[in-house]
Parts: sequence; C-alpha cells; structure tokens
Amino acid sequence: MIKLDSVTKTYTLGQQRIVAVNDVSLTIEAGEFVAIMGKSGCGKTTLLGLIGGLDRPDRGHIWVDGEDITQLPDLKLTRYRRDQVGIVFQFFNLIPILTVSENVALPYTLQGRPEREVEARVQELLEDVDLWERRHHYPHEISGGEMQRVAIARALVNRPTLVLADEPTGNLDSHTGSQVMEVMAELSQRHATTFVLMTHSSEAASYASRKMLMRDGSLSSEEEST
Amino acid sequence: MLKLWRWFCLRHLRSYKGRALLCLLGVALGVAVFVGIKTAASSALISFQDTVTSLSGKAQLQVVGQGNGFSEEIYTKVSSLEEVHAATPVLEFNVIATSPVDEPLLMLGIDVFSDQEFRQYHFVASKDKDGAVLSFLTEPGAIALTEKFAERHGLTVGDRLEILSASRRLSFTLRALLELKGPARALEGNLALVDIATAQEAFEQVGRLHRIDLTLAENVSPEEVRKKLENLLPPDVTVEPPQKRLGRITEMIKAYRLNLLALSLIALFVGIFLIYNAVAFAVHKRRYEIAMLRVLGTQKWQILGLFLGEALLVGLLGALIGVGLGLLMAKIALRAMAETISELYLLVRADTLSFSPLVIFLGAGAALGVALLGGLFPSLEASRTLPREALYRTALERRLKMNIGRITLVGALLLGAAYLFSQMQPVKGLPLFGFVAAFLILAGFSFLTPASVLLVNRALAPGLAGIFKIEGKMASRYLGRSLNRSAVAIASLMTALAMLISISIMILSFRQTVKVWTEQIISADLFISPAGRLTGQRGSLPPALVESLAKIPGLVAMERLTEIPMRINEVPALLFVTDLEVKGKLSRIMLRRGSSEDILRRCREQGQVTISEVLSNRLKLAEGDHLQMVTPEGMQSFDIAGVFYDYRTEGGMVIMDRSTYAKYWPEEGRYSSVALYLKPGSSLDETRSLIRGRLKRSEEVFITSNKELRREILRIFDQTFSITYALQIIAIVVAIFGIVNTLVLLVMERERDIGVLKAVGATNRQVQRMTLLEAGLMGLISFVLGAVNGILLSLLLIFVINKQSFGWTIQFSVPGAIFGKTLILVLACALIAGIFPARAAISKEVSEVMRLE
Repeated sequence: MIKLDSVTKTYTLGQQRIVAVNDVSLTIEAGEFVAIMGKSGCGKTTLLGLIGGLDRPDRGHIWVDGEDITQLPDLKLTRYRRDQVGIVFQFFNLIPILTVSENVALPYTLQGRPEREVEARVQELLEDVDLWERRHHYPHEISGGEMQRVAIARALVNRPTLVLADEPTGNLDSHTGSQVMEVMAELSQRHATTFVLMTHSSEAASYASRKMLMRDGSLSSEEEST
Repeated sequence: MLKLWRWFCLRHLRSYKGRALLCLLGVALGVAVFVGIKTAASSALISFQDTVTSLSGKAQLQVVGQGNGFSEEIYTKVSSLEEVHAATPVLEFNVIATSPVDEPLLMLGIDVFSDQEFRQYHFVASKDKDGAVLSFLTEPGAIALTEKFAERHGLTVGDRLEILSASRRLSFTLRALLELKGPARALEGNLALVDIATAQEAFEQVGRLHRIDLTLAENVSPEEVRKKLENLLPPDVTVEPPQKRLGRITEMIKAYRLNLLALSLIALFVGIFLIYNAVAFAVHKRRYEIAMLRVLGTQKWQILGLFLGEALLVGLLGALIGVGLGLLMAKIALRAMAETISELYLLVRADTLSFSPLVIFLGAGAALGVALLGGLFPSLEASRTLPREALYRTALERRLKMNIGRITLVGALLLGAAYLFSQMQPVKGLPLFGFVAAFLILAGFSFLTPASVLLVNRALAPGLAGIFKIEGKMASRYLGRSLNRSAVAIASLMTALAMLISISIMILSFRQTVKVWTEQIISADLFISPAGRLTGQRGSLPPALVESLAKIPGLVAMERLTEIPMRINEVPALLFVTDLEVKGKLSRIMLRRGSSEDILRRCREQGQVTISEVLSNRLKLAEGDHLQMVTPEGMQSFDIAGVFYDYRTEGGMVIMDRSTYAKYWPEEGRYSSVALYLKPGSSLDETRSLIRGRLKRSEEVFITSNKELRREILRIFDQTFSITYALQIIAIVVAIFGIVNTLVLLVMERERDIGVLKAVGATNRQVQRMTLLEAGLMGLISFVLGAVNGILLSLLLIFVINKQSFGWTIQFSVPGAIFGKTLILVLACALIAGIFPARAAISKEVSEVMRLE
C-alpha cells in the first residue's frame, strides 16, 4: 500500500517560487491501477518523482509498504528505486548503447543477478511484450511503440511492487498508444503490480481502475471508475 | 556577423568557463614550451655571440692556432706586414674561480698598449683610477674583474682571488674593476683581465700565444691579406675573420637546438587536439542553435566563420598567456640550458634573456595556426550539417563513422609518406626530413586512431564486461559510440605517450650503448686529470707529476693521453695522442670492423690512425681511406686503420700513437690525462694518497677509478637529457587536459542516460565506476597505440634523426620497464582525470535530469 500524507514540493525558477506539488494526501492499495490526470505543468511528473524516490518532498511523508521513503538515506533510496519501483517515461529513455534485451536486463544487471536468471527473466518479459525477435536491436532500430514496450518490460524486470508511468502514450500515435496501454493493463493484472499512470489523455486513463485529477499541484477531485 | 558571434560564441565561452580555461591552458602551455625553449636557446647563443663579438672588438682578422696555440715569434712576423694596421696578442683561458666564488671565468691575457686599438675597457671611476690601471699593468699577479662579478662575490680592490686552471691553483690580486661595457660584457661579466706577460708566466705559456687580433690598413682586401698571411705562417696556424668563429659555434649547437625545437613543437601538436575537442564540443552543444540559424537563413560560411572565430579567440588568448608563460619558462630553462651547452660544447654564461620578436610572433602565430587547424574540421562539419540533421544528437557521429574508411586511408598514406621521408638524406647535416617523417608518423597514427579505437575496444570489450560487469560493458560501449570525441582525446594522449615512449627508448638505448661502451673501453684502474677541466680549455697535468707516476709501486703500465682540439677539413675534431702499445695490450677500443689489438698495432707500427664513427660519417671516410691533417710540417696524409665507436663528443676523434705524433708535432711533454694500470690486488686508495702526496700545494688533480669515471660519464649523460624529460612531462600534462576535457564533455552529453541509470537503480558508485572505467579505457587504448607509435618513432629517432644529427650508432633496445611504468602513469593520470567528470556525473539529482523532459 502507498500512502502520501500532506506532501509538498516547491521549486525555484529564476526569481519565481513554484509549488509543484501542494499538500497532496493519497492512498493507493496494492495491485491497484490508478491514473492521475492533469494538464501539462500541473505537477504530475513531480509527484511521480516523489513516489518513485527520484526526489524528496519539502514537507510531508510517503509510506510504501509501511516504510517512510522520505526518511531513507541515499543508498537505501537507490535500493528502493532499484528493487521496488519500475518507471516508464514518456520519451522511453532507453540507453542508446544497449540492445533491447540489455535495456530490459539493466536494472537486474545493476543488482548483480546471475546471468542465467537475468536471461530467463528478460526472455519472459520480451515475450510478454512481443519483442523477443527484436532483442538484439538497438533502440534507434525500432519504432516508438516498440521502444515503449521495451521500457515497460524494463520497468517490470525487477518484479517491482510499484510501476510508475509518466505519459507513456504522450509520444505515440493513438493506435500505438492504445496497444501500449493494453499491454500495461494486462501486465498489471498478470503480475499483480500496483500501477500509477500519469497522463493528460482520458483515453489512456480509461484503462485504470481509479482516476484522479491534478490541478496546480493539488489533487482536486477523485472519481471511482465504473 | 559580429553580433551573431557575440551572441552565440562569446556567451557560450562564458557559460563554460572552466572547460574553455582548460583548453586555453593547453594551448598556452604548448605555445609557452615553444617560446620558452626557443628564447632560452637563442639567449644562450646570443650571449655567446655577444661574448665573441665584444671580445673581437675592431679585429678584422684573427690569427689562431690549433691545440696549444703558437709561438709568439709569429706576432713579430704578422705585425710587421705593411697591410696590417695594428696587431695585438691574446691568451685566452677558461678557468674556475675557486670556493667560495666557485664560478667559471674567461681569463684574457692582453697587452694593454696594443690592445687599446681593438677594445675599449672602461674602468670604474675611483679616486686612484690611474693608479689602479698602472698597478694593473706593472704588478705581477694583478687582475681586473668586472664590477658585476666583484659585487656578486663581495670582492673589492686589493682582495685576493684564487683560480684553478687545469691542475694549477693560481692566486691573483684584484687591482681594477671594469664597467660592464664593451668587451667586459663577455660571458655576462665573468671576465678577468691580466697582463699577457703575467698570463704567460702563470699559465706556463711563456713564448706562446693563442690568438693575434688584426686590423688592416685602408684599402686592402681582408681576403687577400688572409691568403698572404696563410702562406707566410706555419700550416697549423690559420687566419680567419672573427665571424667565422661565430658561424662555427652556431653550427656546433644547431643539432642540439633543432632537437629541442622539435620536442617543443610536439607540445603544440597536442594543442591541436585540444582545440578540436573544444570546437567539437561547441558544435555539439549548439546543434539546436546551428539548426535554428540554418532554418533562419544563415549561410554555411557564416556558421563556419562563427566556429572558426571561436577557435581563433581561444588561440589568441592561448597565445597571449603562452607567450608570457614561455618567457617565464625561458628564464628558468636558460640556466639549465647554458649548463648543458657549457658541459657539452663551450663555456657559456647566460643570465639575461634576449627577447626575439620573431620567436614571440612565431609562437603566437603557431597558436593561431593550431587553433585554425584544430577548429577547421568540426567547424566545417557544423557548416555542412543540414538543419534537420543538426537536431539529432548522432548526426556527427554517423558522419564520422561513415568516414572511418577514408580517415584510416589518410593515416596509412601519411605513414607511407613518413617512410619515404625517413629514407631521404640530411639537409646541411640536419635531419630535416627525419623530423618531417616524425610528424607524419604522429599525424598518421592520429588518423588511424578512430579505427584503432574501435578495434582495440572490441577486443577488450568481453574482458571488461567479464571483470566489471555492466559498468565495464557500458564504459566500452559509450567509448565506441562517442568516437568523434573520444578518438580525438585518445589521439592527443597517444601522441604525448608516443613521444614519451620513443624518447625514453632512444635515451635508454643510448644510455645502455654508452654504458656498454664505457665498460669495454675504460679498463685502466686509475685516471688522473686536471681538476679545473672546463669545456674548450687547453689544460694539462704538471709534467713533474706525470714523470713521478712512472715510479708508483704496483704500476703495470701507464698511458699518457694528450688531447689536441683541431679542425679537419672544417670538421671539429679531437686528436687523441696516446701510448698505443699500452692500450693495445691492456685496453681496447670498440671498432666498427676488425680487431682492436691488430688495428692498434698497425697504428703504432705503420703510423696509421683510427678515426671515430662521427668523423668517418662527416668526412665520408672509411677503413683504408686516407685522412689529411694539417701539421706543423704541413699537410700530411694518414692511412685509416679502423673506425671506432665513441660517444665522448659530438665532434670527431682521431687516435694516433705518440711516436707518430712526435714525427710531425713538437713534443712538449703536455699530458691532458694519464691512465694507470695497476697490478691485481693493488689498493686504489693507497695509490691515490701516494699520488696526492706528490702534488705541490698549488696543484690540484682529479684521481678517478674506472668505476667512478663510468659513473661520471653516465651522470653527464643524464644531465644532458634533463630538459628533455621536463618537456615530455609538459606534453603529458597538455594531453591530460584533453582527457579531462573530453570526459567532462561526454558526461554532459550523457546527463539524461545517467539520470535513467539512476532512476532504474544504479548507485552513485556504479555511475562513478562506469565513468572512471571509461577514463581508464581511454588511457589504456592511448597507451596501446602510443606504444606502437612510440616504438616506430624511436626507430626513426635512433636510426635516422640521431644518426644524421650526431652520427652515433646506438644499439636499439626496448626496455620492458618503460612500458610498465608508462602504463601505470597513464592509467593513474587517466583515472585522476576521470575523478572530476565522475563526480559531475553523480552530482545532478535524478529528478532534475528527468525534468528536462
């Protein structure tokens, strides 16, 4: 279970002070597929960064499975990212010098897992996202949709308890976007992983079991999906 | 255009101050080394020229002798000639003022009356000015020193000054001080004047002169007088204009100067890579701006101008700082250089720098040239980039990869050209084409670097991935991918390393050759030589001492050596007269061909000579040819029995038996040194103290064992190359700047990748390790290429450049330790260079990097 309690994050841009996340409190149950919707600049990515342990809030606490990640020292926070979180970015952020399979294997490899275990896991995931045939290709040799599927596989390789997706369809055409969302929804169910989706697209959000709206850093409304 | 340049280039330079500074310093160091070395070398030479010119005064011609001068009767003959307006005799000695002064002095014995016509000395005004001059003329043992020298050592008129000339200690009284004007400027004021009669007596040269200066009557041709005089004078006495001596000195040290110049140019060469890196970085960083400018209608040439302008600005600033730094360096190098020249060639004292506008202009020009050359390729790339292409990060890389074949071909062609140049003959005794070949090798290898990096990286990749896991794999992949920048940094470090390795191989091969040579030829047990030996000095042992040495207990044999400096067909050479019977039985010489014993016997019995390899090369004479030498008996021809290896001087050497010498030269009983062969088991210390006991109080000699002599030869050898080591270190520092620069650049480019890595769980340590591994890998590849390049260059240095410059045969040997040490050095440097970028890599917060989305 993920619990956010009065989380606030501010940035200084030149002379201006910007409140990116403003006093957000939220609870997400384990295995839930939640979509946080909002326009560009509303603070979605900042919130994702805070939940994913990429950044620390100025105020408030974030509990993940009972542990307050805002209080973790750097090394433990890195381990949290590595072992418990998977992230899918809008621009895929694959490492250009690594092949498809190496990109997927990256978090596992960084943990120093045995080669055989890594290979088996990578094969399993690449088959799930239907890219096993493309495993030796480099990112620049595959399409945008394929890149995002690789990014999803990479996010899942560690068997994370939480996957955070930041506008995963934002850089894709609508058809490819739908395909990617279907893959995510399916994998979420199959692996019983908590998925938090940040998006401005209501179509993408429709795959979630719960939707929330974010505006000017605040989670202003919440609606149950039917 | 200027506005565009201010917006796009100046602001960029301002934003990346640290990196711009690094590049600037690299170029400045290159320029500084060039300006420093050139200025120091010319200052030393100018100082010497100044000495010769100021001492020559108004002399139009000089009568000079070989070896120990000539009889003073010649003076009467010369001065009575109607074409000669005035003549003055001169004795010239290089002596050492003993402790606590402890400095070399040029001592002139002059005839004050006739000398006035030639040189004007200014005595320091004092109450008894006339008295001082008068006493200087009349008192035996009176000496005049320059005010500068006297002040430095706290000497005042009336003080005693002790000097060491060859093996004699002599005491003089300071009677007059000279202002630092005219001839007193010689050797930066390290000049002493004595009356010629005093000098002849003190230095046991009664009846002898070293030189006669002449001015000629009006309307006579110096050349005609010279010819007339040469017909009149003994064959071993020559007449020449003073400038000729200058020409000879310049000639003598030209190879030394050229070598230093070539070394300093390498530092500049490394600077080209730095500029390339800087401009490539600028182009890369501003690809979006270039695209926008192109979209907005900026012409290709304007883009080219923008980036070249930036390179030129770095070059210009580098030139300014470099020239200043260079002059500072020259000040430091001047002393070391003057010491080396004094040790090897001739006594030089240089305290003041002579600024040459030409050198400063050349240095600044070189910096701008380097900037243009380094900036041209990336600037051209920028101007050729299509607007759409410029928006993509990999456009330039793809372009480089596409051109790898062509770049490699250029490299191969350059190496081919280098081979052709290496086979060409020297120009006026200088290996100019050899140096061209060396630069072609460096350039060739630089062009081969991208392909080599790919190959070596590919070969190392599995091992790296095996040992360092994902960090190793990624470091190797990143290196291969960022070839357009990594190859340049690697090429610059490779160049510096190739220089380090090649020169080290050359010096160590040379040292090993000299070591083997000393072990083979130095076989006597003790060597006795004058304590005050200075380069170019005519010094000898006390005759009574040499006589008494024959009765030393335990003596098996004694070899008396007389060295006479002379010129054979305009080539400076040392006639080495010795007892070849002793040498043949108890010692040996290292011959190019034939047995030492047999050849020395032929020299002794048939009056033949053996000549050194250097002389053989210079005169193009070999075994069986005839050597023409000027003797007091006229020109004589000697059969050459053999050619021997010798590393004592850059000039030639002739070995002749004493009996042959006695036929043509008057035997004066002057011995430059003596070698003693003792019975086995004799105590060297006891013999030493026995010899010391036979010395008069005013005599001082060095008594050296064979081990000490070998050590001393190697010490001088090492000292000669000290400046070379300093230059190498500078080139490495410049190259390390390149590595830091490149890595910082690469880390900046990969900010997002590093963010992703951290986002997916890479620890700071893993990111750091990856950056350091990449730095280490760059170092390792530079080392591999530098080693191959260095071996090739060392072959060129040993068999072409050195052979053509000095004529010595050096046995090529590759000491493995050099590679081990260099590898450790380069890895350490590369890793240290990697620390800063590695820290930069982890300094950014993941969220900050990811927010760039």
